[in-house]
Amino acid sequence: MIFEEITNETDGSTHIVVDLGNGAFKSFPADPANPEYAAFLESINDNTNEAE
Amino acid sequence: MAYKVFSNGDALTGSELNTYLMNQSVMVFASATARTAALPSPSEGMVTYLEDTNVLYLWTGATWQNIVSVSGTGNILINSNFVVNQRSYTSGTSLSTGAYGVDRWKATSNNSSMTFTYSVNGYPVTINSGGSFAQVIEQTNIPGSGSYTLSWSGTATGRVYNSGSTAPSYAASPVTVTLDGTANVVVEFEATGGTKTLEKVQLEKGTSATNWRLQSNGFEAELAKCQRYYIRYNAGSSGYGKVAQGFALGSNSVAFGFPVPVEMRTVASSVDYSTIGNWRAYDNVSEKTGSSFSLDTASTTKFINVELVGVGSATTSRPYFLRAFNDTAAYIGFSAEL
Repeated sequence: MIFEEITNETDGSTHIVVDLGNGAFKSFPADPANPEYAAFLESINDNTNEAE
Repeated sequence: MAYKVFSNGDALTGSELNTYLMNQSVMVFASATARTAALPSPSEGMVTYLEDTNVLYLWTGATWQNIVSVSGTGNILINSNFVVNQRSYTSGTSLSTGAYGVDRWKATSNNSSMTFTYSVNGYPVTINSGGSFAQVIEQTNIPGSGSYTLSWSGTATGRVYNSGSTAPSYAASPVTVTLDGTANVVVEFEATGGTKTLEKVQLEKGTSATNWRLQSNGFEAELAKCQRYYIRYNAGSSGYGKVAQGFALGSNSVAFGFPVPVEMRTVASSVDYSTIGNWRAYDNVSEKTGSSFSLDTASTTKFINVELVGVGSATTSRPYFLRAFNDTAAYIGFSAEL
C-alpha cells in the first residue's frame, strides 16, 4: 500500500492519502475515532505481519 | 369459482354458500397443517391466513403462494438488485477486502469480484470462486428483535448475523435467523467451489420469504438511500463539470463546500478522488492544481467541507469553483459507510 501523511493547513490536522492505483486516491483524517483510519492501521499491521 | 349477484328472496343453497362465500373469503387457520386438514383439495384462487406465521397465501392451483407477510417489513436491504453503482464499478473487477463495488456491497475477502450485464431493471451477478460480498445494515434500520428471513435467487450461499458477533455458516436460500436489534447486521454471500450467482436479495422480518421487491419504489429513492453512506460527484460528459464552490483559505489551500442532497449517516470519514491533477480550483480566469484533497474538520452530516491542498498560488479569500479539467472520468466522493 502506497500512502503519505499530509497536514491540513487550516487546522493542522494530519490526514492520510492512500494511492488506490489508476490515478485514484483516498484521503481521511488520521483520527483514531475515524473508522477509515482504524481500518487503515489494521491493514498496515496485517501487511507488516505478512511480511514477517 | 364464480361470482353471483344475489337478489332479494333468492334461496341460498349449501353449494352456493361454499363456492360463493366460503371458498372466496379469507380463511383463517392456526397453521399449514390445520389448513391441509381442512382443505385437502383447495380450489384455485382460495386465500388463507396462517396465524402462526401471520402470512397470507393464495392457492394457485398447484401451491400455496405467499402473497405478503402481514408482519413483514418489506426488504431491509438497499440496492438489492445491484443497479445503483455510484462508484462506476466495472463488472469483473477484482476488489480487496473492504472495497466497495456497486453501492452498499463490499468485498469481504481479497480478490472478490462481481460479474454482470447491466440492466436498468436489475440483474443477476456472478461472484468469482472464493469471492464474498456483504452489505452492513445500520442498526436503526433493523425493526427490533425477532425472526428475520434472508432470501435470494441463485447458487451463492448466504448468512446473516450481528456485526461483531461470530459469523454462522453459509447456507442456501432461504435463511431464517433471530436478531436482537442491538447492533448493525451483516448480510453476506460467498462463492465456494466455483463461481456462484446471486439475484433478488431480500432480508425481511418474519419467518417466511415473500416475493422479492426493492426497499423503495423508484431508482431515485434507492439512490438516495445509498447516498446516506456514500456520494460521488462526477465531471460529466463535458469533462469540465463544476461540482462545488469555495474560496481560498490561503495560497496553498482552497476550501470547497458540498451541500449533500441526503444527510449522511455520519460526518464523512474519507474522500476518494480521481487523478488530482485533473481537478482544478478555477476563478473564471486561471486554473490552480493541488496535490490532494483533505476533509475539513468543520464538515457536518449535511455539508461537507473539503480542501484542495498543495495549491501554491491561490489568492486568499478569492472564490473558486472546483471543476474537472478535460477528464470525463473525474470524480470526487465522500464515504460514511459502515
